[in-house]
Amino acid sequence: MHNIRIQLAEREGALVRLLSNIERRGFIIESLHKTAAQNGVTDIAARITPRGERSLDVLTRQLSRLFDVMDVHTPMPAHMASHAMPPGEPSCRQPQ
Amino acid sequence: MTALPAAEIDAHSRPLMTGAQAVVRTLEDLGVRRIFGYPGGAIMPVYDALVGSKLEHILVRHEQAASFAADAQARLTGKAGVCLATSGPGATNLLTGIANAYMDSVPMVILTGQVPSTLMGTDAFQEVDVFGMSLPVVKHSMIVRHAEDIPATIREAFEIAEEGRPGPVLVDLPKDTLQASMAFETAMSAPTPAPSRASDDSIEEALSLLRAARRPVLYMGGGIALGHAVEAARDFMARTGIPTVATLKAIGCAHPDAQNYLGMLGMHGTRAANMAVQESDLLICCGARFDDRATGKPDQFAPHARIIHMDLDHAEIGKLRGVDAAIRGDLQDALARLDAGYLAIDSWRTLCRNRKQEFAFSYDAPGSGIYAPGLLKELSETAGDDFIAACDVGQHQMWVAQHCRFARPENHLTSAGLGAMGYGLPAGIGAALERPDSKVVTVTGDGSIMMNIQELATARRYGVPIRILLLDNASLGLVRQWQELFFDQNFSEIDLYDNPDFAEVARAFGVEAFTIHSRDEVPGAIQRLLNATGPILAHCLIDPRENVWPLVPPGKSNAEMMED
Ligand SMILES: Cc1ncc(C[n+]2csc(CCOP(=O)(O)OP(=O)(O)O)c2C)c(N)n1
Ligand SMILES: [Mg+2]
Repeated sequence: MHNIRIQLAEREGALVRLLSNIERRGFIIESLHKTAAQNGVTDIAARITPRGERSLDVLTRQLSRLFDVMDVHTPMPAHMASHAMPPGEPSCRQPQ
Repeated sequence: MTALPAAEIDAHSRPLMTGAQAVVRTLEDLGVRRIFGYPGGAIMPVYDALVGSKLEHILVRHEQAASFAADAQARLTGKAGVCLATSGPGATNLLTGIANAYMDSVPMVILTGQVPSTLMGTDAFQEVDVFGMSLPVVKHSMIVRHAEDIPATIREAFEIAEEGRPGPVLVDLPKDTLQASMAFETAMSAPTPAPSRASDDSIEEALSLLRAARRPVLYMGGGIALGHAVEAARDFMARTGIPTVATLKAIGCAHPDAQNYLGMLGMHGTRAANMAVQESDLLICCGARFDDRATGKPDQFAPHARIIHMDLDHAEIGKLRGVDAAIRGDLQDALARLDAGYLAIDSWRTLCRNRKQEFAFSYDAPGSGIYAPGLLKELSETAGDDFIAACDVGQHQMWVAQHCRFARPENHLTSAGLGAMGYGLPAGIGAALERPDSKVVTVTGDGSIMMNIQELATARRYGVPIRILLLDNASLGLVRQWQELFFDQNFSEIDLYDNPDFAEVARAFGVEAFTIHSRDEVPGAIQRLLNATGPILAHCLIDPRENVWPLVPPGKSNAEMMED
């Protein structure tokens, strides 16, 4: 089980695109919390479990390349951090 | 679009127009010259606005063909191709082409009509949630809710489609936004973000791996062409003398005569390429993604190799194979900075070159029938550097990859990631419209051509200079080959014995056509094809028992290639 936090631009379809990506890339969404949007940005916090051998680190980068995703954050257990890639860059544009 | 009378402007002297006129105007402003589409109810306002516009609209005969043709144009130009369809069935017909563009990272903008906003979500006539249906196969998508947003949304769609790792972007246009009146304002482009540059540390790390390597191999992928890094990759090869292999999408990246280029790797790759990768101690994966057709059994792929993975898209790094050095950023820049000098790997280089010779394809097949690999080799060599192939999917596609000579990667149009039968004819049309002076050849099979055969009408209508080489083995050959080899010859639903006479079919569409059966007719057929100025189809009857060799059986390692 991993914790993942995502800053998302509040745009039509952004939430479903994000969630369907998490599932399609092989993770089960165990729990989910979304804040109301402030200045067009919403915070998503989820607990997710890989269905098979899937890396959280790769998922993080797959999510961060989505256009609506502004930041992805995974508080990682210390023993895993050494294997991790640099965190994904936020996508290129801010919401209008 | 017809010029608007001067009176039709608002208080800020912005021209008043409909949303549909704004769609057309924005495309014109963006420099789009050609779009591929098919009309219908929800998109009719745009078709109304198209009359008299500067845009060339190509009317296809199935929306899938519009998406494939736009895809091919985009692959050749590097600019987003545009396709247009109505809501509901028009939109669903585009989906295969959208998925194709997504899998191969092709920039594309898809414009779909939608039922009026007030009816969306009510199961209205011809309503489908194309936004939802296409989510997994688009880079991004938007629904326009206000007519005033149209210019900015479309402009943004182009930017997203083309920037970074390219991909398809869908814009859904509800009919009421197309019909509403709006004050048109040219949308400003956001400055294109410069592609990110790999860090010095990552380059240093890769260089030290490269200097220490005894058996390094460069594994080139489609990202090289997408990243405008073909020259940089050729320079890197020449500078280092590194043995090099390519994925299906990277064919044409290496100069076809480069001595250290060993050919395609993977399932239907060359033995020299696969052996080099299996024995390598360092694999430089450049713009490739460890696709299963390239790697075979993944845990036995390049088992002794350390990995340098270079990619603009950081999400690819470490996805299927752990890496020892990651170079994240623009490939052209990174390849230029990876300056290791001429590598002291003489014996390895010689071993690889010798194998390339030892296992080179031979074309002296027995008999007097047409030997498709030989025909394709001769065709591409005769056509020269202007040769562009648009392939369908099957044995013929693999023969093109193995035996044709390509001067540039863009000249090899193939549905690689999706493997979509039906791509060849519309892609060839898109390519030949874009490059009328090149030698564009659609190489198709008797199964594949039937998936979009209606496009003969499009080729005929616009006089498209497309040469169609139909390799007819009276079967779904690639499936037949697998049934023969891996399903105990239990042949199931692959026999196309009752195909129509394809030359007759082509002639019925008004397309010149001829049929050949024997090898001595091949040189004449090649000349006739290459000299044609309009659409022409060569129907070639080939031996149904011919297979694609060599072959890595499914689930096996690339070290276990089967030969004829
Ligand atoms: C749309 C689609 N349906 C099914 C397949 C599976 N498939 C792959 S190759 C092939 C046979 C292709 O036959 P043909 O076009 O005659 O080519 P050949 O292998 O005979 O050269 C099939 C059915 C596919 N790739 N695409
Ligand atoms: Mg066939």
